[in-house]
Amino acid sequence: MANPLRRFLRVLALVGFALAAAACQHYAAIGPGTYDVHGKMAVQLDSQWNRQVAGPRAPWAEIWTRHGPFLDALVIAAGVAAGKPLVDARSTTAEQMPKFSPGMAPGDLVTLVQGTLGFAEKASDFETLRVETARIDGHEAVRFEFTFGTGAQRGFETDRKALGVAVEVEGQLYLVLFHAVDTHYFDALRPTVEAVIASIRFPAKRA
Amino acid sequence: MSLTRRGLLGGLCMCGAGGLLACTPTDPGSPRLATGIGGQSDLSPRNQPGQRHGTDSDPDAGMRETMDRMERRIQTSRYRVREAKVNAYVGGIVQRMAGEFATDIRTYIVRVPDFNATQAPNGMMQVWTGLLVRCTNEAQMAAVLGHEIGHYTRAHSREGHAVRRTNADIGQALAMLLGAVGAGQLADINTILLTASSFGYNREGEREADEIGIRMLAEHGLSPIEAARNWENITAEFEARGLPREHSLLFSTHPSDAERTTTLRRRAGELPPGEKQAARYRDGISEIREYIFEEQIRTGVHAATLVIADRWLAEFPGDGLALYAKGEALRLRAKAGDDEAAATALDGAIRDAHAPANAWRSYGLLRRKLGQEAEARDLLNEYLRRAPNAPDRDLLRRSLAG
Repeated sequence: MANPLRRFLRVLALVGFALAAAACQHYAAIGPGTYDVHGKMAVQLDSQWNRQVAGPRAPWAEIWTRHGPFLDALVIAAGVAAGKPLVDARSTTAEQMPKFSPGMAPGDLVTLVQGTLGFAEKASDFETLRVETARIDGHEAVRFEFTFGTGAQRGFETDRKALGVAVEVEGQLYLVLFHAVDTHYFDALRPTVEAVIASIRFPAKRA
Repeated sequence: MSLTRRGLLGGLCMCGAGGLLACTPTDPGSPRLATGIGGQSDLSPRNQPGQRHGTDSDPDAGMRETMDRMERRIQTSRYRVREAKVNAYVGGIVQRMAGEFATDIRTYIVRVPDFNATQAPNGMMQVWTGLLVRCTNEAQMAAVLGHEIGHYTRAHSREGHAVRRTNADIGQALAMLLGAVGAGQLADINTILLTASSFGYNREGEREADEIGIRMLAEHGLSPIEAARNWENITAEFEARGLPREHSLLFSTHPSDAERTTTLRRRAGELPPGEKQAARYRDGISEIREYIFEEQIRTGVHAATLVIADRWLAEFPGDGLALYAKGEALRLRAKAGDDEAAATALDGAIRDAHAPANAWRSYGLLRRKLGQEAEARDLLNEYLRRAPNAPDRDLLRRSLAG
């Protein structure tokens, strides 16, 4: 192989590697202000979050974090259709993941969220603390809290806590789920997350 | 030599959904029962009872230290099952089967809903709750425990680590040599062959451990055929989920499920039949049986839950907990015909003494969905009476008051 061609291929390989590495860990800052989730839902942010802009997730899902997803993660699923998983769109995984069905009972929505975390985060040992009704932008919603653990299979476990709301609007599911390490991060970010939840609006959706 | 924890974990036995058993016995023609623990056969131990590896200048010192640190962590872990009866039951079986190694192996039951057990070279054995829910009798569980003990007595982790270390040294030396003679491009082939050799060592270790496990079943009066059934059950579960069980001839850490099933079935035919001890198993894990079924249901893998529930029902017809698991999985899956099948299962569940309170909740929600509100109210009220502190109590009370 001629030297210039070899040099070109090496440069191309390096550029490809750099692009792939960047795509793996790509976050963009969002907020403060109004944030529009795929035109299906809007929230008000009182401060800045880091939005994951690449990764294996469904087109209706968003993942935000303040300190990195290992410490805290805010998951938004805006308009999950019947028969679809909440967040992950990789074909082999998605086929195995629990899926949303319209008309699910509130407790079943919590089971759906926990099953999804089991797949996506290898989470286990769930303990549901609370399942209640709530109102989100005039719609009846379910609000929940639970604890769980991650990392048992890998030998570095963390105790995590989650809170979230789920609401079914016109046969589609809207979910805001916050989960974080149970020491410091969950409690520290809770007021900010509560403000995000309280600000949820569904443009052009009838209550 | 320093070792990462992940690297070490990769070297542990992974007897689970990610790769299970299979055994080509070293002496396939012999029906003798000696596990080798007494030093009577070709599977005699490489470890000695009471021996502690990895002290001072020993090359295994890093491995030992890392495993000890992991064990200290698991002792205080949220995942550790602490219920006394089930620990005494599972740990007691390990102690009896391990014989003179009894005090060297420490058993921890860990809350992870996958089919797996691991044996670390420092004596720490982990048994995952996903294994316990998938076994329906003592012989099936003991086959896996015996397999893990086999890994310990034959020092597979420690020896495997040494093989990988030696292969890495050979690989480096060959790569330098190939580079020096202008054949550096061949270094990749060299690496592939040495890596395949390491995997080959792993597979041979799994075959040895399978053989030790099945011999232990026979020695303790347990049914050896149940060792093969473990693999048939895993195959059935993967088929029900529509998942392929991939197996690479060179790069699999375990023999294929088919090979393990065939070998273990053949070996079982050469050994005394033994007992399954199903009732003893159900009683031994009774403290956590409801938890492990709920844990399985929450994975959301309904196809797996249905296979597991049916397996329990084949062993214990009418078992309320298994009927509940079946009914709940069908109700949550909600495919055509599932509601009717769920109703049948849940109706049977609430008539059995082993039914959990959640069976009434599940049945109540199903009746409500089917428009049978009066029946639904009775069932949900009964659920609240049986589970007054349920996390959804306020929500349900409000719906019942409305």
